[in-house]
Amino acid sequence: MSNYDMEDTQNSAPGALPPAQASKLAPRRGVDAQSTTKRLQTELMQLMTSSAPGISAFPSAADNLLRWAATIEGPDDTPYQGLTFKLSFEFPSNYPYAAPTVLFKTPIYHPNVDFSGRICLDILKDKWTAAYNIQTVLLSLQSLLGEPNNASPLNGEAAELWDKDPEEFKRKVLGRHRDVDDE
Amino acid sequence: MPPPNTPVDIEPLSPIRSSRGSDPASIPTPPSPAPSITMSAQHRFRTTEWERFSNEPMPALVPIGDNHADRSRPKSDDPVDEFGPTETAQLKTPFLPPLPAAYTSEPVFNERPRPIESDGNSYYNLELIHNIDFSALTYIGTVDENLICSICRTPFFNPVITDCCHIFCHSCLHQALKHGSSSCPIDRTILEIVNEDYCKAPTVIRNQVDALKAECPACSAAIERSVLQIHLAQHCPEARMACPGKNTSKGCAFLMLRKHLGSECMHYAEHCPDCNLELMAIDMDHHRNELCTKRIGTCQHCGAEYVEIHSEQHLLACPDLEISCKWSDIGCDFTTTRKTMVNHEKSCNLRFMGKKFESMAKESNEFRNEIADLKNERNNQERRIKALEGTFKSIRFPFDDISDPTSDAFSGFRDNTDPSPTGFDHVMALMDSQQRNINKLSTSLRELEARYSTLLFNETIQIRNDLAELRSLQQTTSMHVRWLMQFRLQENRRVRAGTGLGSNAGGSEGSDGSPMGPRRSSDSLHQPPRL
Repeated sequence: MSNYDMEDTQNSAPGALPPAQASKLAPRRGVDAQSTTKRLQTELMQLMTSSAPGISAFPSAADNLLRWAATIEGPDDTPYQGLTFKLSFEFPSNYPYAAPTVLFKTPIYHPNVDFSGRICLDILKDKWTAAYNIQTVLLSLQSLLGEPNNASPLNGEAAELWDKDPEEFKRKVLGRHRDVDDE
Repeated sequence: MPPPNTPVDIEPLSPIRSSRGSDPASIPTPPSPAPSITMSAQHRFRTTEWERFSNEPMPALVPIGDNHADRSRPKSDDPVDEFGPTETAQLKTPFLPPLPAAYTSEPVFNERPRPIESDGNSYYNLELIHNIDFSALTYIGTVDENLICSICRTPFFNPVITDCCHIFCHSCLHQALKHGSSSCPIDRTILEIVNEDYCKAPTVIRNQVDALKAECPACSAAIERSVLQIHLAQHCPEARMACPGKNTSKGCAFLMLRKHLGSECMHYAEHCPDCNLELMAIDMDHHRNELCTKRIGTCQHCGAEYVEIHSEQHLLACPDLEISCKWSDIGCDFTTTRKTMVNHEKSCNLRFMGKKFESMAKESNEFRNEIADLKNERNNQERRIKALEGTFKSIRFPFDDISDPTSDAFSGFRDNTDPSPTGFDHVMALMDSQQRNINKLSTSLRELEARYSTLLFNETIQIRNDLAELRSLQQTTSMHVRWLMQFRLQENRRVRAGTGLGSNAGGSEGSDGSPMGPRRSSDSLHQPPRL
């Protein structure tokens, strides 16, 4: 629970409608943007106060809580050790009841990530539940780096090299990795 | 509703309290001090906004908001300009503050018909249903993680429990099941819930979340969550209420804050008697007291005319207002009008003392500050001394080995001192160790001395005894010798007398034993005379 939520709405310009009023204008049926925003604010608060090591996330635009930028550090004892990966989160309006769209912004060589950064991870697709949050997703992705699911690869070559030639795999990872600027 | 835009040219000042609907030319009452209210920024903002058009004067001195931003005209009495076109944006709806975040909608009336008592309004208002969004509440303090729904990340509201013993808010679980598969969001156990028949969470959990305190969405008071609804319906001064006109033939549909609730409907259009602005009667007092630039007041003291909202400023400068001498606090009880006060102050008997008093007061203030500083310093010192004492106590001096005390003292000292001792600590510790050293040495010295003196004493006693014995022996021996000599002399004398021969022989013998002569005679005394 953050005090900020309340203050934000109360201290906005007198002319502007606070979110509560804005949402009131639309019929309040089903999941509304208010609860999504509220949940994301709570998650932000939680991430700021007790962040797990090696992961971070923050809204990428000040006025839009539905887009976040996140970073993962490659876990130790994996080919990704010492590398940092940027990701983008896009939340649907019915979050957390629907999964966010997560993309790798940093080019990554990984069996379950394709060359445009799309991720094949069950919890981001059909196994998503409302109890997941940004932190758990990031932790899952971090462990996916160390333990790829080679049974259903998006990058077949990577899946093959992972088992057969770890040296070559590591070389490809380093070759593909490069830092990207925001946006 | 848009915020009303009334171009009024005042600097925001403490408003004057006047009774509701007072005459425009009424005498301004003396300003009452603004109540000192400590409010959070959020609350202050809200209060100013809300009270701008309320029928009560605003307690805060400085209104915040863009409506006051362009008012820079100095105080003046000319009531002409700025009766601009914006004034014509007339206020046909009463002012109400923006709906707080946790209020999901304006309160709605209970549909049940209910007998109207003579004081029907309060009944009506007690039946208002306030819709609160419990997930938007601000809770007081930190909430136990176990009481937080993993879906909405806020404390449970209306918690339900699944077959796999996971607890969620009713609405959260309902939404989750509606959106996805029919499995538990935490462990994906398939839940068989038919007809939204959720199992309520245990009472323990419900009681715990109901006992959580949250800020009232309207008045920000810390209220237990379970009684928040009752608080809003029956007590909260900021809660929206129905206008008393609701039950009259007029059927007024406006809402107003409980603290502004009067006995009759004030929601009718009225023209300001001064500026002719049309607005709601409920907002009239506020308009006339704080915003209207056309309302002229006349000073009861000097007769000057001024814009009513500037009356306070006028009172500070009114030449005919009776004020007390500026030395009143040291005993001058003279009062006169402000313009004649100058004369009095020149001749006031207390003026010299007053100056002295002022300087003394200033000095004593300085002293007071100094004392406070010193007190602080002393407290700091005391704390420091306590800390040092604590450090000393924790130091151990291993001085058991007297033969090499210094090295031991140093090592012990270094090992046990605080990592950040000052030089003074160091020296003090060193001195202490040396002192102990010296004490130990002197004690052992004393011991040694005692031991040796006893030893010596024991040995000399033996010698002294021996000496005494020897001396007595020697005395007896010498006595024996003397007796023997005596005896010998007597023997010799008898022999000489017995022979009768000349003294030659005796002479010759006498030459041998002449030294013994007297002794013989003495010895003869001991011998009984043989003749």
